[in-house]
Amino acid sequence: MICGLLLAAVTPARAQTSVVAKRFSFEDRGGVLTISGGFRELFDKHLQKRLRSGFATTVVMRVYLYQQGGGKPIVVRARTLRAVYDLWEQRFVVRFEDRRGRRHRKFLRDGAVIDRLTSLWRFPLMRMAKIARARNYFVAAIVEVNPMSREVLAEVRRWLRRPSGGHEGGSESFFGSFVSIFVNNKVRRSERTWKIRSQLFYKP
Amino acid sequence: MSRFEIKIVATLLGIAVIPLVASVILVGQVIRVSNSVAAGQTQRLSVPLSHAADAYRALFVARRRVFLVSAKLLARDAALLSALGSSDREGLSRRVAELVRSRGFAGLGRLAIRGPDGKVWASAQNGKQYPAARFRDLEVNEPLGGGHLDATFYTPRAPFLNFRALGRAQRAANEITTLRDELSSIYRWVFLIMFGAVLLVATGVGIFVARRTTRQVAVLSGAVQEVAEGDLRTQVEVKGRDELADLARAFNEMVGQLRENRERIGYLEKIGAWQEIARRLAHEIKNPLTPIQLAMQQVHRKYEGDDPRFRKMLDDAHAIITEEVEGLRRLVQAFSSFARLPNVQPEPVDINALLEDFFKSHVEVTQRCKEVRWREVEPVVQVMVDRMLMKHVIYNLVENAVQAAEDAGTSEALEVEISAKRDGQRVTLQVRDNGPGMPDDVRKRIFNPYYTTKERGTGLGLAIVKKIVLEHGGSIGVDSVVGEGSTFTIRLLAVDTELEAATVRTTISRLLRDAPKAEPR
Ligand SMILES: Nc1ncnc2c1ncn2[C@@H]1O[C@H](COP(=O)(O)OP(=O)(O)O)[C@@H](O)[C@H]1O
Ligand SMILES: [Mg+2]
Repeated sequence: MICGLLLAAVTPARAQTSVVAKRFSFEDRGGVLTISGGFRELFDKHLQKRLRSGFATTVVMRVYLYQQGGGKPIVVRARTLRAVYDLWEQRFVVRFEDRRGRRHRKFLRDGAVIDRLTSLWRFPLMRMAKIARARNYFVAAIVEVNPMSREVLAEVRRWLRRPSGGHEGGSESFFGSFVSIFVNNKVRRSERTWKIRSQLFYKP
Repeated sequence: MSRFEIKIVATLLGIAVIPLVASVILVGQVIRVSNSVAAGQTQRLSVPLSHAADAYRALFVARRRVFLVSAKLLARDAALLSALGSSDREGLSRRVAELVRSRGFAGLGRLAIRGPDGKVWASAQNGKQYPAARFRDLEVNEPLGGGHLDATFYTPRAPFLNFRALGRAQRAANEITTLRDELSSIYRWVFLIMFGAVLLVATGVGIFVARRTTRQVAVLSGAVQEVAEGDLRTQVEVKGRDELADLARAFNEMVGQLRENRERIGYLEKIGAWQEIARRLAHEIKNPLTPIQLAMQQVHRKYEGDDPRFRKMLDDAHAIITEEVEGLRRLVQAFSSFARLPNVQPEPVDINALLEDFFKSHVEVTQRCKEVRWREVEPVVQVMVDRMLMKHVIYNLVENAVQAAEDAGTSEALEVEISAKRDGQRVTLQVRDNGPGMPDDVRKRIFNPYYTTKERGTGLGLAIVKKIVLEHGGSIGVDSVVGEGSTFTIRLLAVDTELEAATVRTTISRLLRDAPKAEPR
């Protein structure tokens, strides 16, 4: 009974991000399964306002292809976008980075940039040949806006282990090490995290 | 959970949780203080940071505007306009070079004029180098008369780099603020987990400790119940060396004493009843014996006939009756001496002296076998006994050993050993023989009155022995192995001081007083 109360008191410590269901379209393009679709409504006012600040907005998308009922994802594809409003040239520069390499594109309108940051267009997932017929598949995506930089996380962990800010080789605090375990999976790692799930689809 | 368990667990929880709660509160306080200090710091930092960012943005806008306005001013330059209007390319070039070098227009690196045909009619650079790593450029295009003016301005890249660094710093500051907020919740988490662990451990340990104690207490109280219901054979297992074990030990001893006492009282009651029967029997038998004998003597004497067969019959009858009456007399003698056993009159007696006395006064029995010996006890041990009765006890035991050996035809080899030793508060007196011994079914009954295996025995000897020993507050037992011999063990109270003698005396007199009063069963 006591434990139950404890758990109840402890669980809400981290706000849960709920999964958003979205319709995507899946296409066979030259023997490659691609996904298209967007989630623009998730890009809220606050993020929109910051777009023209001159500072970068980074979006990391991780796209997982699952077979229904299967445990592990069949394939994982990632794309990183970085949008900066160039205060000098007064236009947006968006950097795309994925398996195919790194590209830059320039835009004038906010809307065009938001579209790019919150959508996938014919984004290749995997070779069609590898997709089984008449089986249900779905795609899940985790999209992080302005993920926490690795440097900051590492630094926080270092502080925790040596709370006195001690030098290398100083004794590590047991409590700190214990706490730093939690940092790994409890701390929110980005400004926004969206979890999106597609409808089921199959290869006829 | 029993109430006792709840109490123990609650106590342990109290002990464990109070300091933990105190430290949680304290740590929470520290976190809050340090957070608010840090928050103040970040606040102090982030406001100027955002002001700096605004300043940079304003700077960029202003710089841009300067360049745009400069371009507009250049496009109004009268010399340029007239040279262009009169298609004076020479004049145009001269004026362009002049303007670029004039330094009147900051950052102007290159200027070109295109004519109405769209071709470049004149252009000039200010001769400085503007590497892209250190400068950003802005190309401005303005209509000039019928043609165009293309101006390229250069501005140092450093402010832009600084602005980017500023952005990174702001991001980091934000991230750390978020992390810090979450860290305090993580600390709370960890404390709650520790709290739970302590709770679990304390409860577990408490239940364990309580169970162990309550189990032992339950065993004891069960045993007490059994004793209350009259089962004096009850004993509890003694485990460990704490107070509960002491209690169990004391309990066992108490029950043992109770049992001994009850047996003693029971035995003395039984003997008392038998004594009464013996007294009556002796009385009833004794009275007609003399008339029977006298009558027989008379008949025997008065017969004067000469029938030799009748004479012979009469002689035989006379002999038989005389002998049987003699036997009956002996029996009556035994019965009445059993019935009229004197009361115990204890006094402190030195065991060695007692045995010496015995050997002096009972020479005949000690001579009917190979050897009766005694080991002197050292140091001198005093017992509280009735000298006469205790000698009688030893005599009976030695006589039984001798008789048993005689019946088995081994008295030539019989050795009897009497020994005594001090054993705490008690003195153990042993009479050991190497005679025929006895089987278990006999051994169990030898203390019963009238139990005998001998043709002419009375079965009273050991009953009297046991009665005397019990009346001394002692106990008697026997071990025997057929073919090897028997050992009778008597335990008596030792006396070391006058005070103890008095205590023993009152114990004995209380025993004597209690025994007859008890209800016969
Ligand atoms: N030392 C002994 N060795 C063997 N048997 C013994 C011994 N002492 C006693 N007994 C047995 O115990 C019985 C009871 O003894 P007791 O009460 O003295 O009566 P009694 O001597 O008249 O038979 C004896 O008949 C004998 O069988
Ligand atoms: Mg006898």
